[in-house]
Amino acid sequence: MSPEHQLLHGPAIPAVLKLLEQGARSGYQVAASLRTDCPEALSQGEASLYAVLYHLEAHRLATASWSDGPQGRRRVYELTDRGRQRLADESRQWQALATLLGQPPEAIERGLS
Amino acid sequence: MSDIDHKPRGDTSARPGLIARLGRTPLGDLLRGRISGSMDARQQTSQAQLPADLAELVFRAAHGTRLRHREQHEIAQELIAHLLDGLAAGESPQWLREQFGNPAAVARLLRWSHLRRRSQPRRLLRRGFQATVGLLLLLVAAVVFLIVRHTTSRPTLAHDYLADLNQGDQSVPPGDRAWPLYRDALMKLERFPVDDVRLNEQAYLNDWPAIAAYLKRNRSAFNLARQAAAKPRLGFRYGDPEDAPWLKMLATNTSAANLQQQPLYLLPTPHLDELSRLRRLLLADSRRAIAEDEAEVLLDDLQTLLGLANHLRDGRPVLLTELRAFACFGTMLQLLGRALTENPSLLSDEALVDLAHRIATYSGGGTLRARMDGEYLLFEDLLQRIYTDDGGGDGYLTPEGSEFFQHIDFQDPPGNAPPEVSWGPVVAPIKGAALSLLTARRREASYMAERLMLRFEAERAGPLWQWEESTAEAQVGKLRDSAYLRICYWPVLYVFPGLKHVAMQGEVLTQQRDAMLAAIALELYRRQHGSWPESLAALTPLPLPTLPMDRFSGQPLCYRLVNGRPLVYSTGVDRDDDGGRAHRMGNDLAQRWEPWKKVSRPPRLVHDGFGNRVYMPAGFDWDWILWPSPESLARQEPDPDSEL
Repeated sequence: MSPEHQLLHGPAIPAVLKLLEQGARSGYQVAASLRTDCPEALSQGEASLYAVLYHLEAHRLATASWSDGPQGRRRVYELTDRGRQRLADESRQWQALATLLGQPPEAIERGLS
Repeated sequence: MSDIDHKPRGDTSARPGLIARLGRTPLGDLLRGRISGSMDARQQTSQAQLPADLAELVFRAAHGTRLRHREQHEIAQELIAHLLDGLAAGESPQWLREQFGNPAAVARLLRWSHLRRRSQPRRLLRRGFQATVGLLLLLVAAVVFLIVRHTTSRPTLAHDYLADLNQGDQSVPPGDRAWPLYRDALMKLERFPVDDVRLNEQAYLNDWPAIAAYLKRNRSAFNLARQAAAKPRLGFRYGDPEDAPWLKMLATNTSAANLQQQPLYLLPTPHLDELSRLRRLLLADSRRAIAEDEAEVLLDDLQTLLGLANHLRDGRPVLLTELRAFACFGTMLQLLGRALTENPSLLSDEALVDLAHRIATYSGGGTLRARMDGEYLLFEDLLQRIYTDDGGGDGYLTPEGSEFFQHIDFQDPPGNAPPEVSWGPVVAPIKGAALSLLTARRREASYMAERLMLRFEAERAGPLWQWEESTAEAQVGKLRDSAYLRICYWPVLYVFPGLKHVAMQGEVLTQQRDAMLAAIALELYRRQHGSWPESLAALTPLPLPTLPMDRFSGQPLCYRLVNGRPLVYSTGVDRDDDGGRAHRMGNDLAQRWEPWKKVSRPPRLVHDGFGNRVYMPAGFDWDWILWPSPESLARQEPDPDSEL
């Protein structure tokens, strides 16, 4: 499986979408959250997270803007309506899959929150 | 302001050169007169407040994307911020390095995702550029392939067509061969006092005493030629070692080895040239015999010309030999007509009957047609010398073919071709490869030539009065008129110019032969009855078995008595009996059959089919006078105002 394919079909995209649903974040903040909540999303290295973010941006699932903070200028990513819709779709699929596998959906929700 | 912005800008330790920095400077900086090179990832990472190994990681990830400098700069900026945030959060550089990931793999993913961030037009532009570059590379590869294929290809001489040409003559018994006697006669002939190729009426007038003396001096050579003409076969063999002294005398190198090196179309034919010279000298000798009342010499010359005409049609027939044979037979008919007009008493009844029989049975009788058997052979020989051979009858053009192509004159009539331009060692392979690509493949060229030849022969199989415009000639015209097709089928076009007039030559000669048979019959009738007959019908069934046909109208030949003298003529191209009226120029032009000549045309200059531009009078309201020739009558009754 190619790295691109792994990125598209692995847990990284839904995981990042879920994190951004909670509010705008910089790349490092997203990475820091994923380290504890979904380390599989960073299986190709933290720097590859930016490939996920660029992908979301390219598909208008997220927007990015520069903002000045205490650490200097940082690029901050924010979920779009389209991104929310995509997250809802992904969640439904994951719930359906979890139901199929006989697992309570809450387990999935817990894993992502 | 970010941490990276806190770095001093004056650090030039990792600064690239001026040109490199120019390409990595934002437009804003350039407008302000600063060649900052701030888009350079190396400079950017070295100026960041990162440990050297982390800075190197960022550089490798950003630079490895192979994106534009601006995009690399943006990626590096984010990665630097990411690592600075990590350091600020208390992470160790080593831990951050471990978490960063493989820079090459990261660069690949970043490139993949970043390319999708670009706008649609920009992505289309990029795809277009990639496609263009790909096509150009393919084109270059194809050109290189064609050049290599062309320059390394070689023809295969699989068959010895020269041996095929010689085959018929190899088996001729030595006692039956005429060629050794002709050769001796030619070697015995002194140099003619004037240019025999341009032996016209003016030359006869100006140099007659010298010509007559020459002809008498060389009587023994003509006697040898007469003995040769009586032999049953010509028996000429290309590359015969016995011809060496004669060839040496001609300063012509036609050794067997030389003959194998060139296409048969370019085969030197000194024997044909020399036999043509003999024909011209026999013509002069016959004229002398007529003028000086030498009956025996005249008959000898006529019989020699007839024998020579037969010999030239011996062996494998190719266009060149056929036309030479026709010319020889035509000369003999012309002389006989002249003798019957100007000095008929030189020929006895027996001689006339004998000549009539020999003329009527020349080449088997019937309509005289040029045979093409050998022409196919020559074309196949050409193909094997200019194409490769895949063993299945196909192949592509070789450098030898390209070389051959350069020497071809595609003009019709030939002679107006632009001067040859040498391609040179660099251009030649490229042009050769292009020519190889454009030229029809061997099988295709062979098929096209064979189809055209067969169609041409089929269209000209009937008598002249049934001819229509040739679709084969029209097809050849199309090939010649189209720039692409001219290149594509150049081997075919190389063959065809010669075929255009050959069928007409046979018809013209057939008409002249039939008219001369009628002229002999008229003379015999006059001798028997003391006057000319009122019509040609009086000559049948004896001495003429049937009435000769007019090749243009399909009716019996026209005949009338003018001022008590007979006139045998054809209606000519207008198919209309104009009472035996011939323009001095029209008598020749009336035999140049073309379909458009059926209708009247304004006067103009036209090509006469023999490389000359002649004045074509308005309309064609004249006949084609066959006997006596207008020239003979003019000599007997000089009258500059007479049209006849």
